[in-house]
Amino acid sequence: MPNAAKILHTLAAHLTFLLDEGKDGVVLEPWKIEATVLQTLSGSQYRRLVGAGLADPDTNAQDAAVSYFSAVFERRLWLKGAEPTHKGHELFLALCCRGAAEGWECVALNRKREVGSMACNRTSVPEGKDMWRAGSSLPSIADDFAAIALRLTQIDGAISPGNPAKNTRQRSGPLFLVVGEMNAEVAEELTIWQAICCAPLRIRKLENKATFDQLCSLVIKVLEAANRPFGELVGLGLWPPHWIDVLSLHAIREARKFVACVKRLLGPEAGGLGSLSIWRKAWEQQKVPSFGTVDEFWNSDLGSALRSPHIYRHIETKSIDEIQSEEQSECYEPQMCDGQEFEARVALLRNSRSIDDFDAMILTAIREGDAIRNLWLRLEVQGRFKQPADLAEYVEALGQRIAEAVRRFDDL
Amino acid sequence: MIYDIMSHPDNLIKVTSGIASLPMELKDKKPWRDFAHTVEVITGSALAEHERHTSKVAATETVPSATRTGRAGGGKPRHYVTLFELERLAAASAEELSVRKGELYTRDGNIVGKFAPNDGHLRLSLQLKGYALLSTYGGRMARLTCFNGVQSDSFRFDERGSAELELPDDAATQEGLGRVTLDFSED
Repeated sequence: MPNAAKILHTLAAHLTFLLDEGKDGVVLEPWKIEATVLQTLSGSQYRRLVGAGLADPDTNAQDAAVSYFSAVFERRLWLKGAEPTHKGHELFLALCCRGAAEGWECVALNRKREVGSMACNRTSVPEGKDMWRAGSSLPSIADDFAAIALRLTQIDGAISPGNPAKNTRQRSGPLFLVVGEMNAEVAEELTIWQAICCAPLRIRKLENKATFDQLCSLVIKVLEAANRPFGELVGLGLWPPHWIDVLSLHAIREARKFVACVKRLLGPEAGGLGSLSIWRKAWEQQKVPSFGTVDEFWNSDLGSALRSPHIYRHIETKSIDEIQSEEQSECYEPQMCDGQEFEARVALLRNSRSIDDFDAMILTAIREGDAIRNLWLRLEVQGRFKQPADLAEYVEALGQRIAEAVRRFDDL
Repeated sequence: MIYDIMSHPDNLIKVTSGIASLPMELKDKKPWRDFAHTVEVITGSALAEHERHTSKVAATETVPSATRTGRAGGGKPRHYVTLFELERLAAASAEELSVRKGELYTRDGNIVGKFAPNDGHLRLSLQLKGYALLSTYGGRMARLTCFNGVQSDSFRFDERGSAELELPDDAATQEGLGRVTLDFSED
């Protein structure tokens, strides 16, 4: 069974395909992207990601998918520490860079107190000379930019309490999308969905597999960031739409550690989250800072929910170390490695007998872009798997095995 | 033989001993994390491509079965193609953009839309302008889709290039009318 992280990576790749769909160029049509994402999320393999099993009995897969879309794709993203932009901004920029009209390749996101010689307007766009004839020629960059600037002005620019963007803005000024002399202010808490809706309508196709993978890497990162509170709630067995606006990410994580502590004290045979006396013992080792005392936590809505047998069945078993390790890994932003480095790592894994020659061959083939159905046609692959779906399952498991192995390397 | 690292402690020993014997520069965590991320990307892409191929979830031109805020037309799936985009954008000046209340335009002005509240709904009137558009699209079925997913039922332009439709008068529709696409049926 794939873990939630693996499912999220596949979803990110789906979205990347949607952001590159078209023969000669790409027309970004948000309603189509949304419909396809919802259709994908309604599939049985995404039940765990969208928390379908946690919902009310009358919530079907489509409703769970819609809830997920609202909570994750439309989640207001925050800056991380002193960084000038977040991953939602980076996705927006990556799409703008691919704008089909000439000039988009020079686009940038800059923080400025003053823009050019003009005062710091929310938007400044020279009038375009070329008119865009529907269904035919491309719009000029000025037309394109004007439409985007308008869409950007319709986004709520408020900054949530606690978002570091407030300080960054005071220090470095507002964030602007800039092309030449044109500029438009970009909301600090731009969501994934807004990044897609505000991008140029017509964009260029990605050039090759490497550029596709680079975008996919970025989409994975932005989805991971947006999915975090939702995913943590699912891990705690709670139906996210009921809790996501009530609990902070920090509070959810502290509660997860506390639950891990209670489960450790109770042992694997326990059928529920025990008694107040067990909670008191656990409290000595792992407090939940959002609550003053263990009794307060026990009697809270959250405490009551966690004691419910229905929720207990869905709590993902993770140790405190695993939860902390996940938190720490968020501080580091991984990059795609190049072909030479990739092959070197594959060879090291093979030499250490963590993977065998067959695993290595499959990894190399999919990195080069071989589709699973084509890979299955190879004789040595058909000999192992009856159908392409079996090979897909194996690829999924291989990805998880490698992720697990690398996580263990980190602990050395 | 395929090793199952997660379930066989022996294999963990192989993994850790393999890493422990690596040259110093390769013990660095960063390249391994980068490698793991690269594996996430390539396996995710391969699996998504496989899902797209097998279940045909790729976006098609057919009417979707559901949208978040709107309702797709029922009955036999109809094939649409997006031909026009309308915005509430009026003439842009060097300093500012203005939104013209209650009106929509294509950039060339050949399709104009006007909307106003009417008995709890938003009544939207669309008009095709010019002989070329009238002769091509007059009498054709169409559908309107807002950028935020709100979608109209199918409607027909009459032979004079006019169409009227009713949309829910709610915040989502008001927002969505900032930018809409007009899709014409190919059937």
